[in-house]
Amino acid sequence: MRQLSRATVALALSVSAAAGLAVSNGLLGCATEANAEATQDAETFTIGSKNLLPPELFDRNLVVTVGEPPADAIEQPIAFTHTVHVKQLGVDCNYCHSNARKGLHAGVPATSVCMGCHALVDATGRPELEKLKGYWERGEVIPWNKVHDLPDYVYFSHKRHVNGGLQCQECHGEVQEMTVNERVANLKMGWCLDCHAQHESIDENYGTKAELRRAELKDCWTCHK
Amino acid sequence: MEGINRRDFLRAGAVASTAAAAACTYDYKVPAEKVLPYVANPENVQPGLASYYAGLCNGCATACGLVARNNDGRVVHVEGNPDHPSGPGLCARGHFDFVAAYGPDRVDGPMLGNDKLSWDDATAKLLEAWNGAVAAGKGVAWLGQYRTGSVAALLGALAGAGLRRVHFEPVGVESLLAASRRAFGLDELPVYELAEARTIVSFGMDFLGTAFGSMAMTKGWARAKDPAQGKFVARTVAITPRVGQSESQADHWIAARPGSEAKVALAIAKLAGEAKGYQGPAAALLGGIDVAAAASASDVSEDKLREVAGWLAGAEPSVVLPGGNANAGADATALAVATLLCNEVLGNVGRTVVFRGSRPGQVNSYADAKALLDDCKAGKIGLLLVDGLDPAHGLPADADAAGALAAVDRVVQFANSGNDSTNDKTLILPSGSGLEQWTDASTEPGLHVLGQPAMVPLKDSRGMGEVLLGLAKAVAPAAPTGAAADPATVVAVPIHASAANFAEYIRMRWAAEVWPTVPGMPEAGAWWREVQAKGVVHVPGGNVAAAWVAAELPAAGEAPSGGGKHTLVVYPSPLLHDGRWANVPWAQELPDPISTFFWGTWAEIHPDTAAEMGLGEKDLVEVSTGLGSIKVGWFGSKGVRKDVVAIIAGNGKKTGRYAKGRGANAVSLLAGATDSASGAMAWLSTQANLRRAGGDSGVHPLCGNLDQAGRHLANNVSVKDALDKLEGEAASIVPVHHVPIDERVVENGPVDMFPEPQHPTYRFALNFDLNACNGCGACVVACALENNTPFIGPDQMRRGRTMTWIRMDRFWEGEGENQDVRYLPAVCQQCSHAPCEGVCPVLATYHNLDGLNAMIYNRCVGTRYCANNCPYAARRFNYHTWEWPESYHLMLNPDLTAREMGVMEKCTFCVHRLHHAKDSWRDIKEAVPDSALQKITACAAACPSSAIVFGNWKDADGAVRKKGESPRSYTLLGELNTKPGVRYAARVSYHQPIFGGHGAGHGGGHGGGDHGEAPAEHGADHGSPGKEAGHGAAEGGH
Repeated sequence: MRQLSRATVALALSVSAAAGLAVSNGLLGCATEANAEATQDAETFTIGSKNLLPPELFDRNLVVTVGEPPADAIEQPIAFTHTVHVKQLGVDCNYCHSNARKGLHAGVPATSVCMGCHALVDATGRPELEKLKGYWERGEVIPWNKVHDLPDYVYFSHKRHVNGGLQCQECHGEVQEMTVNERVANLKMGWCLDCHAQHESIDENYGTKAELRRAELKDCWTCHK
Repeated sequence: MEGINRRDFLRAGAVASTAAAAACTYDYKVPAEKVLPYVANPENVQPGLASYYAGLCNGCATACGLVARNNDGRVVHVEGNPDHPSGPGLCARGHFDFVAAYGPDRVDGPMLGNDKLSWDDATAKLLEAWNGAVAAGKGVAWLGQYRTGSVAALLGALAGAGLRRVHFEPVGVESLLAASRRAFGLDELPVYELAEARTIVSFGMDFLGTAFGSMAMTKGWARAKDPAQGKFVARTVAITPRVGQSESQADHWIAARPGSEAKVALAIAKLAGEAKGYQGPAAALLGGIDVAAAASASDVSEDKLREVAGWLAGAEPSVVLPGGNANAGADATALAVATLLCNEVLGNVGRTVVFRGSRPGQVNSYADAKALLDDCKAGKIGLLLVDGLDPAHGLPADADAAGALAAVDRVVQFANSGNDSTNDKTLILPSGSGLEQWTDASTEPGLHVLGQPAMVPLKDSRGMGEVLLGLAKAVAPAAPTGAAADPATVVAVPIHASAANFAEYIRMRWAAEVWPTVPGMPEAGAWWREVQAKGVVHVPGGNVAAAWVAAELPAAGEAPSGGGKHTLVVYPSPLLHDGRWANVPWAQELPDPISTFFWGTWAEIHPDTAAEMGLGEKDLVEVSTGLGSIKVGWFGSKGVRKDVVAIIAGNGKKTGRYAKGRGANAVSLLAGATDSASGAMAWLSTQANLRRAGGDSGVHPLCGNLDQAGRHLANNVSVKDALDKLEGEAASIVPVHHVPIDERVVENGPVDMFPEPQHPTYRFALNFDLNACNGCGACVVACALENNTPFIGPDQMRRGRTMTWIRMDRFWEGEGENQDVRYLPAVCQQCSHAPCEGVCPVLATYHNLDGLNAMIYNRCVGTRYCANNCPYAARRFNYHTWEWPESYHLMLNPDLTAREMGVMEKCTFCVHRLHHAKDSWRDIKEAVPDSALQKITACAAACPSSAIVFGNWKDADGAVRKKGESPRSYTLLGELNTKPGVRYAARVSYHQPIFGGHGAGHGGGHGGGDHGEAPAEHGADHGSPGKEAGHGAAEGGH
């Protein structure tokens, strides 16, 4: 939490910057149109007395492109490759990341899950597998480096997204093609809200209540608590 | 500027100056983090998902059940176990054992002086000391708190091998036990079932606080006061020298002279017996009672005594409660017998006063403890095992516990940190928190509670049961059981010889003793799994018939002595108890229910006495008795007699980082007298002198106002109104203001300029029933621990920077017999038309679709406008990035943010819990039903009297809606039209109305200031009747 206030200030600045672009691109006109459209729709829901998240602020083209490109690939203690496991061997994501359907965190599998298969795989002369075996035999935790790291004030639930029918690849990229896992999305708030505003799974899951759900998904308390 | 609104204009302006800078500084990086998976995943553990363990509360001898929530390997919250008869709910003190588990002062492992030992060495030293003491012909003794269940059974086995057991607690029950023995020949505690009592007369038992069994009594009291449940409202009378938390809930306070309570009780018994025409076995005793003498000895008029007896006799059943700790004098047993006599003549025995074998295990008296300490001092004890007590702090000076302990060859303490009683020779065997070890308890036949470890021990601790089992195996391999000492926990077979560990010992004991008593005898393996899941086995055994046997009454005791001008009333702290939680910072910081003081020790002095002494607000007062003196701050309490000074116990410790040097130890002023009939410590036996000592006391109240200054905040309604208009009828009977309506502009019905916002699915709402709330503070503690609210220390508290999201307001109206203490738990009211939202410049707070007033910490920039604009003062500004000991970080709830400096925070209705519930119900595509919401917030789950109900206002059949539509319901400052989501139900009381107390004339607006407020006594109390008159006039002008 120590970084929070600095992060908050940075975030506030970025919002201002985005708005600045909006003004300079003449987007204010668009905003007015959007509001007019909203009032015509009979089933609209607004949060609070004001429009909390003016849609123009979270247009993909404005927010997502502001900021740094996605992080570089991070080196891991064991050079694990998803290509071999997912693409070549066809292991389902949920086999290792079984918690993704149940809780907030998808989780990295316990070493015992790796060893469920690797106990039967000959590690001789294969340095990465020997590392794995070493961790297992020493009873030591494998210190994986986080690739997808959200700020501590963000509460993201894998369960809701996976059970809602989203594919892992929608956020994590084509993981099955990655020899070294890397982040393809910038995980910034505007990027999240792009889907919260319009993802097709909302209509599929909520039908006639989709408009309500879309409004709920714009509530800050959906992710920040 | 056509087409551009103010917000966009300001935004554009701001951007002009910051855009350049922002473009190149936008790079917020969080430090690289690791993902550390398990090596082998434990069964049923899923990262981020909580597990729940049924357990046993170790807060006091009552031994309630609790449920511990474990998140990612750490217990982050505890709640009462609803399967336990004392649940749901958990008192404030019950939460502190959980906090203490994370205490930064916990020792790493067994310690001898400053040296850390291995457990092998430590247990070897224990055995060596036992054998050494036996070889040297010295005694081996146990001095500890009350214990039942398997630990008591093991101690029974050890007693067979020569262990001298003394179970004593400063806040004890020995005089009550002695009274039951004398009056009914029953060696057990009377159970007071208050739920059906029409009149409750208390001689000072802290039945809503520190008394044994207070959780059940709190529930019974709330039930007896609820007009809707029993169609009656109990009248409560307190006959005490001091108004404490329990007495504050009384309708009448009769300030009898301290030391005369037993005479008063006997007089009431006689008068009630006459009224009832009592002819039972105790009738002969009534003849010798002199009512007139009692009246003159007690300062209570004979008429008043007759009135109280009339209340008791006129409404069946009633109940008379004994004296509590604070006013247990040298005649504690006589008083307890006298109250039992009242119950006997009133026919309450078997109805509201029942006997069913209730007792907290073996109970020894203060005299027994002192005899043991004297033997220690005489060098007769070679090994002393101390469990849970801090004798050097908790006993009067004449016991000289420190000197006695120093004279023992080896003292072994089952403690998690050093305390005032440890010295260089003390062997500390840390037993860990109750959440880290196997425990069990059984305080009455048929009620068994199991405590399981809810997390791996944070330090190298070992449960006390485990150590005792090892000791029993070594020194008492085939010993017979110590049956004589403790009939409640007799062990039929010495199973300690065959049990591999304490968990197995408990299971074997339960299989032998509990399992056969369960109706239907379920399959043993499945039964044990069910026991572990529920934590409680309750097979009610029925009540014992009790017949009066006492042929004579114990002699009335002597009046308090010492030659001082004031009688000293030392009372156990409602939060620190006897001092056991003094090193828990949240316990120190939670305001005392009566004075709202915190972090220290203070004396309660009558304002007139203080004025006579010329005391200034910040002055220290020196309180001296023959044994010494202490200097403490003071609180001007209208609830003490003018010749009484009351001092809170629990503080004044010499050790512990939060307790050391905090306040003074009031127990050190006590003369150490005992009640001759029971050997109990006489707390009310000493007289003291007061002297103004100047200086700066440093203590300070949280609530600066004594009363409500004429505002309708915490409201009362009369019993008649409440019974005449029960739930379901429309008209409000609460004398509150309503939103003024201008008749001139209303043509087609009232017009609201601020319509309700959209609430498509939920309008979350909370209801506080002030009739059941007794200000105990359990909700405040539970909220703070659930929501990562920091403690901030005495200096910041004095600046009014309290961080707890619930503020327990205390208003003290009137004085004398009819004084009226009202509690008002004030939280964020989650307004539909919230004053805070409109003024936030960054939209960090807003109204959401669930009816919640959201607060987004990472959007907040800390302008504090919202707090300024909140009429309820419900918002807290975080002034510091709180520096906590590392160990407290483990206790943080991972479900919500831990805030830091510069952020505004407030009650969120436990939004993270709501999210969990919505998430679970969304799996089956349903909205959360009201029934699943009623106790979802931490405060509602903790409330011992179920005064807090949560729910969805949109559910017309929901509990919160039903409560909110009762005639007693009102909103706080409703005339501001904030449309709160929190509603209060006015208290029902027999008090003379101080603010009107009628409901007439409040339908649609203000007619003309017809509140009938400010009776003379209230105005006189203020010293400014004009203020009240002015208030009334202002209303007329609406």
